[in-house]
Amino acid sequence: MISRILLVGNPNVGKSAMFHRLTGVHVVCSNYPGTTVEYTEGALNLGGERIPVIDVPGTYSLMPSSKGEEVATRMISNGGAIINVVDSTNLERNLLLTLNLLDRGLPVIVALNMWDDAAHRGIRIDASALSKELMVPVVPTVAVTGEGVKDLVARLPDAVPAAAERGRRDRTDEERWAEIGRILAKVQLLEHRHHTFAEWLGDLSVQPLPAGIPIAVFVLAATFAVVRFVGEGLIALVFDPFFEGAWLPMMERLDGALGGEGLLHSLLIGHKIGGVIDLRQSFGLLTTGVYVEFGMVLPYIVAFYLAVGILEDSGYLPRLAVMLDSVFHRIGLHGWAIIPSLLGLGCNVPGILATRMLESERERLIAATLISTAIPCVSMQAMIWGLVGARGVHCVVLIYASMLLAWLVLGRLLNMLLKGRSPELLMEIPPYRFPPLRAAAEKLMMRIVQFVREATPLVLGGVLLANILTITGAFELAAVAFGPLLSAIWDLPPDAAVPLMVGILRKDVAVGMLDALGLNDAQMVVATVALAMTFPCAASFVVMLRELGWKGFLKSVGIMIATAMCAGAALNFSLKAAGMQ
Amino acid sequence: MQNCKGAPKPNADRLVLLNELQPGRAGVIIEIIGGRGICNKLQAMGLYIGSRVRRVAGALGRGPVVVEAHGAQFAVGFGMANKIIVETENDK
Repeated sequence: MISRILLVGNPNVGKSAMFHRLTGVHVVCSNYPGTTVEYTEGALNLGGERIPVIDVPGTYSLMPSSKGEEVATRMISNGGAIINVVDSTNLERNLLLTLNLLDRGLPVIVALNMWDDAAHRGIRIDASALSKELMVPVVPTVAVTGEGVKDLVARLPDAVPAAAERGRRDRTDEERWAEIGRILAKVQLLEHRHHTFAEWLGDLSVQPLPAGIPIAVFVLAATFAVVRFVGEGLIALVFDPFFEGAWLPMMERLDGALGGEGLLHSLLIGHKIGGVIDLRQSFGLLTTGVYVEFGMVLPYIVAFYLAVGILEDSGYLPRLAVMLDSVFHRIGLHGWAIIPSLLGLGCNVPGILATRMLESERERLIAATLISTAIPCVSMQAMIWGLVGARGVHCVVLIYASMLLAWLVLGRLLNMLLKGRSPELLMEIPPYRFPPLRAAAEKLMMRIVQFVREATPLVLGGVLLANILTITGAFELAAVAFGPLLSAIWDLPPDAAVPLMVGILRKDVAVGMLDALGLNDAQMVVATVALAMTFPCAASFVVMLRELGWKGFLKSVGIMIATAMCAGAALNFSLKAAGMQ
Repeated sequence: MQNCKGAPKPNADRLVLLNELQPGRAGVIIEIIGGRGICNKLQAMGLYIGSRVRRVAGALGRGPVVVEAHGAQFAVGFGMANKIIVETENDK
C-alpha cells in the first residue's frame, strides 16, 4: 500500500503543474528552476482512499546544494512512492536523478512530462523501451493540459513491486552518466531540424551585446509601463467609477443614517473633510479602509501579477539573471537574486521566501535585508503613485532614486563587511515557452485572492488602530515620545510618528496617513522613504524571523533601522540644500 | 585545491579555459579545478570530465558564460568557468 506520493524531479520540469492536476490544489508554477521552495501538500483519491501528495522542490541530485534542494532530499528519505517527473525534451540530463532514485531502491514511477513539446522538437522517445531499461513504469504526460495523468495514476500501484524487483545499487554519477548514454541510444531518436524562432531569440537574449542588454532594458521598461498602464486603466475605467458612482453614495446614506456623528460614525465613516466624505482622507473603516485596499492597491496588484506572470512563464527571467549577474556580484549576490528581488517588488513576503533558491546563509541574509529595506512592495508603490504622484512626478522619481541608491550602497557595504564571498552563478536556462494561458490565468486569480484574503484584515486593522490611537489620545503620546527624534533627524512633524507605527501593520495605509498630515513635498518624500525603509510590515517580519533565525533577524533589523536613519537624514539634508520645500 | 580525477591525455595546444572558448565553438571538458562540492554540483547538471559543451554566447566583462551540454543550456559564473578546462574540437 502507498502511504504517500512524492513528486520528485529536476527543477522546472512541471512538478507543480502535475501536483495541481493530481490534487486540484493551486500552486504557483513558472518557467524557471526553483519556483517551488517549500513543499506543498495535497491529496489524491486512489481506489477510494485519500493519499497525501507532496510537491517537492526541484533538485538535480540527492546531494543538496541549496535550501530548496535540502528540503527535497529530506523529504525523499522519509519514504513514500515517488512520481519522478522528467522533462521529455531534456531526457538525458533528467535521467541522472532518475538513476539516483532507482539505485536507492525507492519505489519510482516515471512521468515523461512535456511529451507534446518533445514531439514538436522532433524528439521521439520509446516509452516502453525506456520502461524495460529502467525496470519501472514509464508514462508519457502533459501536466499543463492533464494528458496522460489518468494513466499515470492507474500505474502508481506498480511502483512498489518494481522497486523490489530492481533492488539497490551503489555506483558513482560517472558510471550513471555512462549508463544514460547507453539507454538513450536505445530509446531516443532525434530528428534533424532547424533552429526554431524561440531558440534563435533565446541565444540572442543571453549574448550581452548587441542584443542582450538592450532586450533586458526593454523588457524591464515594458514591464513597468504595463503595470502602470494596466493599473491606471483599471482605476480609471473600473474602480473609480464604482467607488464614486456606487460606493460613495452608499456611504453618504450611511452617514445620514448614523446621524453624522458618534463613535460608530467615526469608526466606520471617519471625519468629513470640508463637510463631505473623502474616500482618501476620512479614515473610516468603510471609507478609506475599503478604498485604499480595493480602489487604490488592488488594481496595481492585478497589473503587477499579470506582468510578472508573463515574465515567469515565458522563461525570460533566467536570461535576465545572466544579464544582471555582474551588477549583483557587486552587492554580494549573483544574477539569480533578481527573482527574489522582483517578487519582492510585488510583496516582500514571497520575495524573502524565494531567497531560499540562493545557496549560502550570507547571500540569504544580504538578499532578505535588501528586500525588506530597499524594495517597496506594490501596495506601497500604488499609494506612492496615487498620492505622492499627485504632488508631481519629481517627488515619485526622488523616492525611487533614493531607494535604488540605498539598495546599491547597502548591498555594497554588506558585501564588504560580512565575512565570506558570494558564490558563483550556476543555473539552467530553460527554453522560451509560450505561457500556458489557462494555467497563467489561474495563477493570477490565485495571487489576487491570496492578496485580498491576507491584506483585508491588516488594512482594516491598520485603519482601526489609527482610529483607536486618535480617539484614546495615544496619538499624542507617540508624537511626544518620538517627535523630537523625528524632527531632529528627518525634519518631520511629531505627528508623523503615528503613520510610521501604523506602517508596521500596512505600509499602504501609512502612506495614506502621511498624505493627510499636510506635509510639504520635501517632507513627504523623506517620510515616504523612511517609512519604506524602517520596519517591514508584520507579515514580512514573521517570514524574516522564520527564514533567517533570531540572529540573522536581529542583524537584519539593526541594519534596516540604521539605513533608514542615515538615508532619511541624508535625503533630508540634500533636499534642503537643493531648496526643495 | 583538489582536482576532479579522470582526465584523459589532452592535446596541450587545444586546451582553453571555458571563459576563452569562442561563442559557437564546442569542446570537451578535460579538467575541473575545484573541490568535491563544486564538482558534484556541476556533475549533477551534466558538466563533468568528458562532457561535450558548446559555448552559446559571449560574455561582457566578468559576466557569466552560457554553454549548452547534453541538450540543456547553463549559465556558469565567470569565476567558475575560469576553473573549467576544455579541449576545443577541430574545425571541420
